[in-house]
Amino acid sequence: MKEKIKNSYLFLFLKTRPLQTAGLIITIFSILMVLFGSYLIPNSPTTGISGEQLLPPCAKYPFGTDVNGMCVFSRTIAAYRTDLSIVVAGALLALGVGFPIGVFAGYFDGKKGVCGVLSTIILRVMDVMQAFPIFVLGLLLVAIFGPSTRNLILLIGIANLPGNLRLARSEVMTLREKSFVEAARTAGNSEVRIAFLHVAPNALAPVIALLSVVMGFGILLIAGLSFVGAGVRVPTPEWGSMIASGGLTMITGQWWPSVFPGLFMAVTVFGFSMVGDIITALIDPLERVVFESSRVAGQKG
Amino acid sequence: MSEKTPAIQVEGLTVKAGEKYLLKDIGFELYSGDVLGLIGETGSGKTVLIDAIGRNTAPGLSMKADKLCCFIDGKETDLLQKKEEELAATVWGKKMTFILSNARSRFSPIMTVGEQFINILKSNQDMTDKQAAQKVQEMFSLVQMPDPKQNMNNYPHELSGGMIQRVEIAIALAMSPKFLLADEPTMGLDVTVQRQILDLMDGLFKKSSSSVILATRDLGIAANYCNKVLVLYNGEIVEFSDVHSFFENPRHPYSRYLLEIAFVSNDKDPKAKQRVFRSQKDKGMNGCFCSGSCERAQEECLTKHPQIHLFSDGSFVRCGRY
Amino acid sequence: MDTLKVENLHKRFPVKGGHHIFAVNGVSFSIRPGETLGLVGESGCGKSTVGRMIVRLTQPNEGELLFEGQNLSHVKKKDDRRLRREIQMVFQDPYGSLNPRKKVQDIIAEPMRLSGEKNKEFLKEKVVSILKMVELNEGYLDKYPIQLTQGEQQRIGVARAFVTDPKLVVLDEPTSLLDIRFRGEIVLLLKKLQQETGCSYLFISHDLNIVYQLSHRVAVMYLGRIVEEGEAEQVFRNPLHPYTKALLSATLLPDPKQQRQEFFLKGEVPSPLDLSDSQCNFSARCPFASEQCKNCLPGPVTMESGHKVSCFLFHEELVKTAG
Repeated sequence: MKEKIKNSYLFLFLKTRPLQTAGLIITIFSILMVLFGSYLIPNSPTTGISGEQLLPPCAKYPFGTDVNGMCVFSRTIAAYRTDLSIVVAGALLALGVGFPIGVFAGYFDGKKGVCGVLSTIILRVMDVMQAFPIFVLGLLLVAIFGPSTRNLILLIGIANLPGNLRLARSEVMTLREKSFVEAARTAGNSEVRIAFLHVAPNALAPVIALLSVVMGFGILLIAGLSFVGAGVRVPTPEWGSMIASGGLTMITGQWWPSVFPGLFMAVTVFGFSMVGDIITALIDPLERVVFESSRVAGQKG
Repeated sequence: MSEKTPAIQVEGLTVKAGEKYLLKDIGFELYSGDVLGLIGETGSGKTVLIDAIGRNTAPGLSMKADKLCCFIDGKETDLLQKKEEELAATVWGKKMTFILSNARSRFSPIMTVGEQFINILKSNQDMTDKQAAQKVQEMFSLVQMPDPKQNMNNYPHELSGGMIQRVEIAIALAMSPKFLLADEPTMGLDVTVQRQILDLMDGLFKKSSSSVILATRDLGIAANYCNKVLVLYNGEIVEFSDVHSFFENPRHPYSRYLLEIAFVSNDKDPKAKQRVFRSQKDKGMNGCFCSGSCERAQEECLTKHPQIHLFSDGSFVRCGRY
Repeated sequence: MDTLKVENLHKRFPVKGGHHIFAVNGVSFSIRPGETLGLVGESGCGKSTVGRMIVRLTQPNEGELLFEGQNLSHVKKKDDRRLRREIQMVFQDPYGSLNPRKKVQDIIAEPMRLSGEKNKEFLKEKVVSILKMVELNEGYLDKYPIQLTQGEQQRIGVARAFVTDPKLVVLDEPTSLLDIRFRGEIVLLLKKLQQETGCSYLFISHDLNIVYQLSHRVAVMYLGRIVEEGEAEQVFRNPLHPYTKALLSATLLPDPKQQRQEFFLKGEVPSPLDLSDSQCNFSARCPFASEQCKNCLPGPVTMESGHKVSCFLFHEELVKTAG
């Protein structure tokens, strides 16, 4: 069994990529925290005991307590669930909507007919969307609909939609000139079939790699919004809002309410941004083949 | 008949990418006036060899050689040990020039070809702008650019593939180099354009007795413009001989296969009808890659990697049967 | 009946500024069953465009394309599938013409699947038998294009074209991007397949040596027009049109003993932009050009041998012999 693991594609791939391996470990840790974090929490993450505010790290409170007497450690671990679920849902939303529309827009760009016109319209809509500063959009959403996790998911989805779309579009625009597309046409494929069954799989790789970056930035976005009070509702544990409320006490020397969540956030964002490569390597059959042949070639000497 | 003065000497040239050999133990000698046809498939190492002689190997590759030198005015100039700056100042661009295939990629898209040519001239020789411009026009006429005066002010994207290739050739020939290394200089060009350019180059070489290494995939080019032939396969020398013996009586089975498959016999039924060449490349360093398809193959051909056998006329072949 | 009959084909592409690229200007030829017509010419002559019109990748502006008597423009849906099976194409780029993320078996099976074949076993059997025909074994089924050599990639391209048992295969420069060794191998393979299946070929190439090996008849194109057409032996041994002569003299034989023919043509092929039809488009470079050539477009003339040529030099001859 051990031999099998040692020789498996994933293991060998990771051996050559230390940063991505670190990222993977961090991401797996994050996932574990989301699933099982609640068992590790010694104290309540949402209620504080008055009289125990701003206690420095000690046995009862490993990361100390914040200004409301809540356990920083418990809140930091509980925040995994909050932050990550919002961010993953948002990233998948952006991908799930952005990718197919991007493929469509890229494939039919400049072509005559209804599809071509639609493609141009889509692009203009993206221009408008991207012209809006995300942060302001977030504040607007909160102002109109009130703060909630659903809004945050929507926000991340909307904020990253144009990026995903454009990336898919540009990949597709390059790919559609290749002769395997002509070959597919000659064989009798309809244009739509070519766009989604032949070209799209070849455009997927960079967009998937983008997922992890999107998630990383998503965490920062929520944190930023929470920082100004437009994020999750108090007392939901969330890194950004924790950093915000903890910021006030930094001046008076109580660093732990801010620094611990900040550290966890930074490390998690880093971890996610490194994982994109691994996802591509696992999903894309071509990546695997290329990797394996380069390994074999290297061994020949 | 010109004297046989040595021009380029290569010995034990090896280029590696990590553990993988791109070129293994390459050695040959050229005399002034020689035009060497460098023949090989993609991946055989032709481009790597030309890059190596120009010390232009890609980063990440390691190169070593027992000897790599050229002879300028009778004096041996070491190309291996000398510092790049020194070679750039004295040899490259002046005595030794290069023509690369896909010439378009070496031109900046935001300057006219005339400007770029002038810059190159001035960096290699002391010239005023006016003198350089004149030289450019001269060279453009020489390579039969359709409109030398106008073409000087064209941007690379305004010129066709044939024209850009001619500019590249003009640049390489401008300094009347003693050594020219050309990597598939006419690839992708129309037949009629290719022929004009090759005839032109041929005339110039004969006049200046330059030594040329011409990498090509086209046996027709090798047969008509080269006097020596070097065949590479998988980074190793397969055969080296003069052009007439090579085409008339190729020694290595790979060479024989190439010639048969190129329809040397100009009739409609080539001899190589039945045989499909299966390369035993995967055998690595054990045995000869032709052992699967050679009529003369013996036991040892399957297990022992063949060494170079040198003939009295200076030609050599990598085969255990000699 | 001819497998393919092409009659007065025209294709122009509009370019910014109200200009046009006149790619194909009145091309006519026919291909009989089991025959190979070599279509030769240099860049810009329109040969690839002709090929693409035959497989319906693009539509002609004027002219008729008849496949076994049936008109190829305005094809009804029920005929479309059948025609897709019967007319196929092999592309120039061995790797680019294969979907990098599909396995060999899927690439080859696709044309059949699209023409309605659903039975998985039948598909697999057919793919394996086609692989055998192109001299590859079953081990290739699960490979991806990137794992194959150039020669193998192009064999897959050929396999894909032949899987539906086509009657006509258009080959668009199938050997130009291949190394020496693979070129010859593919040509031998194509010859074998033609003998086995009786398929007709339209072989488009600029490599005269290779065209000579495969073609029964040859048509030479220059700037969208056929300037000479005839039996391959005749056109190659006794070229009539000055351009054909130039092309042949430019060809380099892999034989150092034979002195290469002197090459007389200067300059480049002019651009097909805004081409005029009131003069012979080769006259600017032709060493035999006369006043007439600059004022009038020569039509095709059929010589006794069946050789067709569009050049005033031969109009005169005919007039002379008649008069």
